[in-house]
Amino acid sequence: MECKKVKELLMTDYADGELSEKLHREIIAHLGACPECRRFEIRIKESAVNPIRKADREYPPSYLFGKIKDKIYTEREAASVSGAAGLRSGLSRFFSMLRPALAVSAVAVAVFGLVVLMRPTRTGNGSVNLYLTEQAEFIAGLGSETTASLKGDLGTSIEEFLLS
Amino acid sequence: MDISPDIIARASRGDMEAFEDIYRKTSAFVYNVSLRVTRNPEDAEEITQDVFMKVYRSLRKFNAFSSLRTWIYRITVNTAFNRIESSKKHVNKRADYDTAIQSISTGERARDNVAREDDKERASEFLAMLNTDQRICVILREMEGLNYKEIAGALKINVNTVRSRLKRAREKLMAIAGKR
Repeated sequence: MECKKVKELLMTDYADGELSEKLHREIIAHLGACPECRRFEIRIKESAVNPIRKADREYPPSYLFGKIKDKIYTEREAASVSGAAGLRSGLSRFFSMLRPALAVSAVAVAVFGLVVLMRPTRTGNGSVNLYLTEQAEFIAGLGSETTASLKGDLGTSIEEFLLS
Repeated sequence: MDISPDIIARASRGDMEAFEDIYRKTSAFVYNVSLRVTRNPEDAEEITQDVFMKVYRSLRKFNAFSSLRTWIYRITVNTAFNRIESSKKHVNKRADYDTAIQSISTGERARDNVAREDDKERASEFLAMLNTDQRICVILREMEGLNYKEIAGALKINVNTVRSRLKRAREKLMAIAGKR
């Protein structure tokens, strides 16, 4: 393998353990025979890999999970409040959708009630008919003997004065 | 960092102990990556909070057939990357100039500190010399030990792009070390 190709692999797959076993063996064999590539490998490790690889990992401060937990609880609370508000607004929407239907029903009930209340009863109707019949008979009988006899006998003096 | 399906199921039902278990197993990754990418502890804390709020909200929708770990890698990287992008948008017109000055001084500072033995400081300074894409790849590989396939999955890029970014990053670090 050429030094150029070896150097490229030293900077990438070899340094990161991504080489196949066969290729890895080839590189090791090359390094054993090529001092320049061996020096290059040491340079990569010392200047570009180890300074970062050896650095300590940073950990989050201990209080951070408490802050996250508080945020979660606040969010849960807000969600439950908005859930109740959602139920209320849902019911309100449902009833507002029903409002025209309820209004129509109310008007229908009112009209029906009025019709029922204003409808003359059978008894009432009978008495009116009787009254009308009597009045018709009375008017038809005017000028007849019965009414003529009444003319001569108008009753009290005031009646006589007013009706004569 | 194995997280059993039972823990995920319990956490998705609101079990806080199970959620804390997931946090304990993954928070070091989330915080460390966020801190190394943004180089700001306050940003890293905020990103960690954001990531775990996203995890909490999405556990119910989480597809049990994909790995929770890979998913957390991805949202961590995305959230950290978005934070950097949004902070870039807020800088004024002097941004390019300031960035150029800063990158020069960072490089000089790194060279001045040859004698410094503190690995942590050295690592931060080295990472600061890389662009965001290279930095994320290097952090995931060197600090978190992800392999090429896992890095590709977290960044939604192909394995050859991972290889290429790592190569460029190492070339850059070697060049800087060669000038010291």
